[in-house]
Amino acid sequence: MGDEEKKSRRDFLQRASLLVAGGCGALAAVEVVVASLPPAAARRDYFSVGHLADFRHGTLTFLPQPEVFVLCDDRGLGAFSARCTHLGCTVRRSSQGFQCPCHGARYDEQGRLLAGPATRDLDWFALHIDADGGVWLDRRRRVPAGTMILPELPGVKQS
Amino acid sequence: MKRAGPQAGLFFHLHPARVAASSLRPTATLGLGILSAVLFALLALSGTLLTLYYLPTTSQAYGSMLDIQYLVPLGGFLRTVHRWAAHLMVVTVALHLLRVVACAAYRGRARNWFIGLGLGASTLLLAFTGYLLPWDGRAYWAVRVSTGMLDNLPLAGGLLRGLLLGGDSVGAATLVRFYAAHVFFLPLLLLLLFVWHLWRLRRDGGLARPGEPEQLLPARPHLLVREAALALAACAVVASAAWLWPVELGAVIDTVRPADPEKAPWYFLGVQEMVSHSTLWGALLVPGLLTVFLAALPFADGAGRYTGVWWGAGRRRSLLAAVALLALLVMATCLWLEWRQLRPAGIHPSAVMTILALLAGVAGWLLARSRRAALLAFFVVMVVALGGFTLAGWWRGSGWRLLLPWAG
Repeated sequence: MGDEEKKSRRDFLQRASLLVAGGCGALAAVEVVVASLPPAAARRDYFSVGHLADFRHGTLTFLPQPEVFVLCDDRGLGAFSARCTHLGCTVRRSSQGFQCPCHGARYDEQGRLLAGPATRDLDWFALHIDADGGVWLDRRRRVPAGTMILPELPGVKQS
Repeated sequence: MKRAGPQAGLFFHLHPARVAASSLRPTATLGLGILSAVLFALLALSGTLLTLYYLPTTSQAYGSMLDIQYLVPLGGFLRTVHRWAAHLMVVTVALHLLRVVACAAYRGRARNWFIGLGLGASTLLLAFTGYLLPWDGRAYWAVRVSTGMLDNLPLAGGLLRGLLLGGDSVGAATLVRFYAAHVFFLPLLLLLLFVWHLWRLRRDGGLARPGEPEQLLPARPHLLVREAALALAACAVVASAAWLWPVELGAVIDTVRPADPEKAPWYFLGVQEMVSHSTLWGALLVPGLLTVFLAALPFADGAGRYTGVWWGAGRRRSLLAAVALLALLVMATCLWLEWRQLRPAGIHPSAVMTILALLAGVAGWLLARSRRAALLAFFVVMVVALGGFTLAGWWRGSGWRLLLPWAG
């Protein structure tokens, strides 16, 4: 066995062990990152919004938990996010509708974009009503702005 | 037996044993590196004492802050010292970076330049993670606003935000993560990088200077005396600031109703202001361009004379001064238009300033035929812009209106 052959074998072993060590290191790094990511269970998407009997015509209710506004008028019930579509601050009521206190985006009373750094309307979410008249909001299901559901159940009281 | 030689002791293996006479002149560095190190030591000391009382859970953090502020003997002073030292360290580290760019001290020292950038990033992250810990309304919303900006980074933004927050929004997991990062991981990283930074500085032959051979003086006493004086001055300034302007706790946290307006910590106010004009420019293009500039700087600039001399050759200083003046004028005009609410909707001041910076770079190249002049011209405009946007963010009032403090 020549020196050349020995040397090339040593080179090969050196490279192979470096590769294996590097691979293990990379896997460990990926594992650290994955372990640091928030678990899916930390996200909640389904929220109880209240009961049909709770809503009055011409009202806007703010729900702190999923940070949504629930709008109730003669077209029915609709829900839209209070989170500014720009960078996620909670918008505040203003004379025109809503304004974001973080970068000044403005929306009208139904969450449609008026001005500012945001580029789209506030997110509207699907609502559904169970057999007992409980209203539920599904944060995974977006609907076009202005989508209202008109419950057939007797319950939406005229004020 | 006491050894008096210049290399005596472990300390002098890290600390230079001899130092060039020109490096000792106050104008060589303005002492900014030493000041940053002193402030870090002060922060480590006061921070260690604060950990004795601070409780990093969402239900206890604010209460423990109240205890520190009002019950612990000298606790309020200690906390204020920590806070002022943190603000000042962000300033001195930023000025240190400015100094290194202005003096082209990165030349031939790319590795130490990048270690320095790592130190700067660690400083910002330390200041930012510490901002959340009081768990008052101001801290909560500042962190929510700042981390919200990450959503605009393509691909990695959401991932990065999840890693930082440990959940969908700022909550219990975020507080624990920020605490762990603030008291352990980041100080450790900063300390390691700092030691490496100093060691590289010694290996590279001390401070960058024009290169004429010159006399080397023993660091003890010549450098040590100056370091001690700077350390005492820094302590005096921090203690006086803490005494004169004590920092009160913010209001109790309200995760539902933000104040109006809600602002990021001051060192991110410039970005917040730019983002309020345009997310693309403010959160992506300007920070991206600056990152590329800083990363490419030691390679874009070649070797040359006047290394270690502020702003390079004398005749280029007037060019740079003109560029700075022009940038100030344009920036002031942008702010005035914003204040009078006359800004056309599609015109973003951050875009205007960036284009001006690029043009200044081209002009610097054409007029001076020097890569350094071109890079400096670009950098000067960007620094003026960042300063202007930070001020504008500072002056934003209710309804995100720009309110000039002297104009009512």
